[in-house]
Amino acid sequence: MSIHRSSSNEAIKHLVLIIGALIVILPFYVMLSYSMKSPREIETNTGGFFGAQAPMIDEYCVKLGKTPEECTTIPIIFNYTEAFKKAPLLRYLFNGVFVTLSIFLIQALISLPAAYALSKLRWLGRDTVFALVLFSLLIPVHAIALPLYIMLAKVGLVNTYAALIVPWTISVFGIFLMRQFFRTVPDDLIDAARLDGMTEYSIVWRVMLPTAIPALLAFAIFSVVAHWNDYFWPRVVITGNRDLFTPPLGLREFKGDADGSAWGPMMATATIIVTPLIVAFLLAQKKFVEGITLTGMK
Amino acid sequence: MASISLRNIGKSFGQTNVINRLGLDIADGEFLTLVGPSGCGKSTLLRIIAGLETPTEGDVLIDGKASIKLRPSERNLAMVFQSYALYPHLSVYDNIAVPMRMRQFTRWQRIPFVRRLVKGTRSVSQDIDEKVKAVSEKLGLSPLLNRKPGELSGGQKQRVALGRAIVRDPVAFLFDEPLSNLDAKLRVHMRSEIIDLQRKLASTFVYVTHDQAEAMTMSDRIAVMMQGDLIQVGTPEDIYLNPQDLRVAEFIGSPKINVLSAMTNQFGQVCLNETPVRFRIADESSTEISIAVRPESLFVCNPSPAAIPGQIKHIEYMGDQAYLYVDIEKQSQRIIIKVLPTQLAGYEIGSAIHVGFDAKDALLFDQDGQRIYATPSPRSVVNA
Repeated sequence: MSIHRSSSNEAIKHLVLIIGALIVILPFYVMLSYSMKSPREIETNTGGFFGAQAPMIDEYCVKLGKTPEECTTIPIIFNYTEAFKKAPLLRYLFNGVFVTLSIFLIQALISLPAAYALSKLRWLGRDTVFALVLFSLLIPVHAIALPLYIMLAKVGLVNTYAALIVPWTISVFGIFLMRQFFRTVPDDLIDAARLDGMTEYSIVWRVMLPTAIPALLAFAIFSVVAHWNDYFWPRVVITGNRDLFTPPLGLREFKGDADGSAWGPMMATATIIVTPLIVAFLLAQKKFVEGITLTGMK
Repeated sequence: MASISLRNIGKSFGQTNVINRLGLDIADGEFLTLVGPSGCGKSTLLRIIAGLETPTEGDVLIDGKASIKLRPSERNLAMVFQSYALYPHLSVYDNIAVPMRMRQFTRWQRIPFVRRLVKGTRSVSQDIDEKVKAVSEKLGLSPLLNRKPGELSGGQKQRVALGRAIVRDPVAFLFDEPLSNLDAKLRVHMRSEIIDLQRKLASTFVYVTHDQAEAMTMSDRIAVMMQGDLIQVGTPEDIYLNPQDLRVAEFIGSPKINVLSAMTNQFGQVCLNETPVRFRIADESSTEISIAVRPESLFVCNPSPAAIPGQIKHIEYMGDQAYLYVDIEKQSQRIIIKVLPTQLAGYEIGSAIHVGFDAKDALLFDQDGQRIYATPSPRSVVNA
């Protein structure tokens, strides 16, 4: 009886989880499918997941005065080459990598010593500062976007890499996460390091950092995913200079031209943009989960 | 090698006094144990010596030099922690090498890879390598040099911690309950290893423990701390036979010393349960005092007016010895008598017996727990 009940309980749990998973996966399914189909198949909603991959004629190419034979391609190849041809996607990807890595490195550089000071050193006002950190966690980015933009504009940083990076370099979330993790590091270890002749900064980099790798990795994923996918902030501070576009901004290139939206190439671009994240997550999945559970963050 | 002097050390956290102004001189090459119940301030005192804690007042002299302003690393002391405090991400070799690298390498040489570009790194590295190898040889760690601390047993970790301490020839060693995390058997073994080490190095050891057996077996001198006060400092023998305070008498020795409450009358005679015991004290007024007698100094005797009647409540057989737990009338504390197992015959739980002790074995303490001295009568066996 009890076994029966628990197994039906399990079934219900799994059903709910499967429905949830489907809801999350469906947009990705559509994205992947469209990235392989011809425009006709997308409009008429035919061709199944992979599309028929029948040879098609690129009308834009014909307009440029070439023969139809020269302009015949297979949809999947057309979509993915178009993704790179129509917009400088490689440049966008480079911008994305440069910006997200810079943000993460500087965030780590600042949050590790800060977290160490907040968790392991005794000083006047520590609790107040930590309360401020918690308070800052509550402030939504969008609320301070305008003042930030104005400040950046006043110092002439709009349309630079700095505008994309600088506002994010101090991550209160990172400080909080690392502080929670550092609290679990035994004080004896730090005292031993002091007797061994390490300065407080050496302790941060030589003792705390190596023990905090799982937590730092978890934070890295949060940080990189957030800034790689961010559309809002780059849209605000990059006004015109396409050389500074990050991948999500690049997606706009395919939207609403005079000759209609290029759905196939657009979805191909989207696929290319999310792939690095998915690969990175799969590689670091174990450490990531470890880091999240260690820090008690859910 | 250095002497350590504590001058008027006091420490308080806010309103709470953890250490009440105390002074202590530790001689060069001495093995001194700080012992006391948990929360008595002994670890704080050790951390003050190490420089990890700043005292509210007072000074620490290391080899006669005022050191209170010096940072821990500048005092050139080594410390071994209860949790071993090994760097979890470094191999045994690197754990032992870290203190050497921090001292002998320059700032640039400490950075991995960069160090290869700096002149003179190789000779320093070789020097460090030789030291690390020699120390691990001495401690039997050579086969483990490539392991990480997570792959070691408790005893091995403790040895690595010792290695990390001795590798840089500090002027003194500080131990903070280093054996508490080991199992009983290994603890006894590591005790003798640490004593051996101290003899070989002939260095100053300051050792904190709450285990009176460790203190008794290892030290040249014991310093007993209670509630932030340093109560008595002396050789193990002195502390055991001649405690100056009832708390010291109760803390040192296992099983615990027996404490009987007694009265003195106006003649200075000591009375136990209204029966005068044949010794007197100088102060001729009637007050309450305590008579403390070690379990091995009590014996079962024939009934007599001066013998203390009691009833056996519990018998503990240990193989080489046995303990009788005896309830005595009008005494709140159950007393323990140590006997030979051969003497157990005829006794069982519930037996009524008489207990006696030799007056010279009795320690007297006044109401405040301070030691007072008796003037024994000529025939001074209580049951005589």
